[in-house]
Amino acid sequence: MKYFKDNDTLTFIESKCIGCTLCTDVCPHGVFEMRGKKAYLVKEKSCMECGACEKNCPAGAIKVKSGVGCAAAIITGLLRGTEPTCDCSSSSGKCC
Amino acid sequence: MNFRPIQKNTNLIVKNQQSTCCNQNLNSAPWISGFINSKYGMIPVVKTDLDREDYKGHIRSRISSYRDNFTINPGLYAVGNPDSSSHIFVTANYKMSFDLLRKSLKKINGWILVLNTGGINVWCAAGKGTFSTEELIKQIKSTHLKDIAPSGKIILPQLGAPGINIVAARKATGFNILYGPVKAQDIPEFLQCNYKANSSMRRVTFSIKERAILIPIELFMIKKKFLAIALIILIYGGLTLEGIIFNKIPETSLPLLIALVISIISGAIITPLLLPYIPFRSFALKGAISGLSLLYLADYIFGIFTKTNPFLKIAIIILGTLFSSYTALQFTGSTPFTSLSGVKKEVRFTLPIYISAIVISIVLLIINKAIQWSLI
Ligand code: SF4
Ligand code: SF4
Repeated sequence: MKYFKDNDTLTFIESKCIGCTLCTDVCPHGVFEMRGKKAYLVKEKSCMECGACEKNCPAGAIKVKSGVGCAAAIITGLLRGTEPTCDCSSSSGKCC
Repeated sequence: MNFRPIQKNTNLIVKNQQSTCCNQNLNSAPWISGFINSKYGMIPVVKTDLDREDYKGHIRSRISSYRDNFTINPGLYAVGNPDSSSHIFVTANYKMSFDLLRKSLKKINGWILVLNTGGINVWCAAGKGTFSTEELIKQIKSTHLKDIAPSGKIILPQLGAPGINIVAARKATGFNILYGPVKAQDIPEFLQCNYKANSSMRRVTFSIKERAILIPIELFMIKKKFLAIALIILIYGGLTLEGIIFNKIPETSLPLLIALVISIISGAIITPLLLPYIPFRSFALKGAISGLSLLYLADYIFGIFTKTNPFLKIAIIILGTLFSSYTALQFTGSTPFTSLSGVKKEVRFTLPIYISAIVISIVLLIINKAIQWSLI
């Protein structure tokens, strides 16, 4: 299944990559693939902006504006004038 | 390598079935089969078979707010007969996550390290930052893991990766830490293949079964909105110049209520089930399409709106489609593939449409009443 995203949220700077393969381990959508000693963006459009690759890349080669793709969180954020917030404190049964 | 037969423990740990642990709660938990006596205290050994009570809990947390309290204590647990070099599997303190993990560790001797995520599952907790590097380090320290299993490899759930910086965690704890597969059920194969996860183990899926299982909680979350809207519909239906008259209610309210039910069926059941087959990527559009089709079908087959005034009928179609679309849009929060920027785009695009549709519907509903009251 495919969804859409802004094109500039995920960026990968190949020259910084040290080939540790972590991004290919963590990405749940197979966005990265190892080609030789470097990672390679193969399925950029499938990125769901979870942020796992950026968080784990030891070389700082990946940047992604991460967050939850949840309409309720975004609408709550809009109403409160904050970033999307997923109100899943233990008392409320919202989202995840 | 983890499939060795049960062997003698290291001298650090002595298996002790008759526990003297003071924790009543733990002692009585039916999923604990015994305790390991370490010098730091009792470590519960958990069963790898789930029983009826466990499944009952799973079902209740799939259909109600029970899931908000479906938690276990964070800390260290054991499966089988682990020793100082056994694997350490990490999970969240949402009991469903914990159960799925222990169920997958049959015939494995290992440790389970449960992080405190406030009872939220691994994926959501990682996104929120409670399944985090700091919490991992904290639990490793507070459970004295370095003493109990100094040469064990720590296997993290892959879906916890958004919250963990594995390089920092390795550095801070001195443990060899790895990312295991997305699904706990693939752990045995992952271990057998020498810690290699094939690409299917690394990917999230969203099969019809995985979507179907989310429907009850979607319906549960919509219950309050449903009741509030239903009440407004009843009041609107009964409204006359002389006040609210009960026997006037059905004529106007019934078609509105039917449309409300249809739109919920469409937005919270049909759209999630048929998600990949409904055209367009936008959830709001998918919901609108399925809502409109279902309303049309209901009218075509059962003629439910044939007797309604055209103004009311148009309002019903607009509102029904809108509510189905809105309900489907909420489902973005439950999928493992919608992105923040994508949903933002969608919300920005749909909110003005929703607002205009509501305004138009209100005008139509006012005209409908005015006609009923013979004002025009
Ligand atoms: S943000 Fe998540 S989905 Fe996107 S490339 Fe990174 S790991 Fe993959
Ligand atoms: S995680 Fe970073 S350094 Fe490692 S392979 Fe991916 S991009 Fe390269």
